[in-house]
Amino acid sequence: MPDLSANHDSSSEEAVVVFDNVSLHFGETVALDQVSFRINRGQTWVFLGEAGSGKTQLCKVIMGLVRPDSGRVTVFGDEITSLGERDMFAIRSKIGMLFQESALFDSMTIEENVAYPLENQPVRHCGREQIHDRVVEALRFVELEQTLTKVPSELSGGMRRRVGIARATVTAPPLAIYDSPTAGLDPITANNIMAFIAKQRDLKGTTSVIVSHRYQDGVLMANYYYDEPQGRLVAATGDRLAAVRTTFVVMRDGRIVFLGPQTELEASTDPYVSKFGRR
Amino acid sequence: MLDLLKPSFLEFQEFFYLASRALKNLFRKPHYWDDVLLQMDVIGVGSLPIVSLIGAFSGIVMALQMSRAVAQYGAASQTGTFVAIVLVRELGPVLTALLVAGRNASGIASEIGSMKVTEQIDAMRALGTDPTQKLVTPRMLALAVVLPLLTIIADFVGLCGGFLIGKFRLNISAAQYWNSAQQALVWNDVAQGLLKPFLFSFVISLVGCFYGMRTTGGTQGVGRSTTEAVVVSSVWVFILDVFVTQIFVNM
Repeated sequence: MPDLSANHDSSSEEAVVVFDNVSLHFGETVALDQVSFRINRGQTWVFLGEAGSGKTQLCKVIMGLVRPDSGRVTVFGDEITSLGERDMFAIRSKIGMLFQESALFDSMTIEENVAYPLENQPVRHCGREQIHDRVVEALRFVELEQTLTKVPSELSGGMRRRVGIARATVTAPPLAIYDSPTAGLDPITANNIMAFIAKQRDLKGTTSVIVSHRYQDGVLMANYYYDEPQGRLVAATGDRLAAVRTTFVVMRDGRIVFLGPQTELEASTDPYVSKFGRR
Repeated sequence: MLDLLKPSFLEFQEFFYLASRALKNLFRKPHYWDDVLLQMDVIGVGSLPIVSLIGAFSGIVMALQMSRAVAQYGAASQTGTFVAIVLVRELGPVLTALLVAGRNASGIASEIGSMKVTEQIDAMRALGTDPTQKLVTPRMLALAVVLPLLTIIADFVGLCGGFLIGKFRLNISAAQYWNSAQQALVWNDVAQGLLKPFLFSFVISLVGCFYGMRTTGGTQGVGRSTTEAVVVSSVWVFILDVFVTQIFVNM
């Protein structure tokens, strides 16, 4: 089996996200405790852990939605911990984020939802016609182009998640963060969602951060790739497997207790870590 | 004691931080005029029926009560004077503000609160908009325009209500009623009658937005912040009313 984490800490590659001793507290509760890691361009990182282990807060720190108490966070080479809200918008426009419960704006139609980042990001300017085309393209990517005029409450949970993916990726961001993309979905729908995430990664070369409590999601990302001619996920072998560089992280009470490739995760003897390394 | 006061001071400070950001946004791009118009429609046009209804009834009740009280001094024909002064100075602004606080501070808090607990506020920030600019400032602006207008309507409908009582129960002629009402009002009355709703509008919109924005804890939290928004904005309407009245009475 090839080393999946090949050069994941080599400094010659372009770093997308760097955490350096980041801590975050909410009153007494610890959300993140001295977290350090480095995500390079084109990699896939899967964060596993129990509810309340700080996974969602980690996503929000990358996005600059929550400011850490200490430590340094660098995103696309910019230190974001000291940036003001207005300066953050330029960096956020390079990141797509799928929120836990999709967080679609329920007063707007699906089209308006997906068009929102195109219309509102201060650094992006494109015409009305172009916006419509890109929205349709993004929705076609998740096979939902027929829902343009519907409102979020008319869609099922899985469909809302797919619209969320479309909205997060409509601007073709180089980094995409997926917060619990499969939470609360049945296994078949969950695998569908993961297929769209892998498709986005493999066709657009998006650096992907996936937060999940399902190990299968990580396994899928690490061992499968999206094959365009066949239009579905295909088990990766040989060269392909090496290309699908996936790093697994297990978190507990805001701390990273494991960081490494799938093989090491499955070999772990730590009772907490091995709980997440079972299929 | 200090520990007891700390949370309230913190809350106060956060409120003023939000208020100052919302005000600053008036002079910064982008402006969401669509949202301002939408909120004017929701708050202004939506409150019109209830505000006119309550205005009419308060005018009627005021005329009935006043006519009895002033009849002791043989001045029942001056009912219009009293109705006009009380309505324009006090009842119109305060009753309208309380109604709008009950109807819209709660609406604002629950709408923004639901958006907060479903991460839509975070999504807004993630997708390139400042929630204070997109949500708070339009509501503040809309209410600042609409509440004085609603108050004017409530005052007018109230005067009409008083007129009905004057005409059909007290046998005051139309000319006499409207003349006395018009003569009773001086610029001072009109000024405070319009300044009050203008100031109240900021209390209502900002308190509603503030409690909405700090909602935590799911649907239960939305209920809690809705209640808090109504209670706190109503109390502050009265507190502000005391100060403004005090200033104008001394003028």
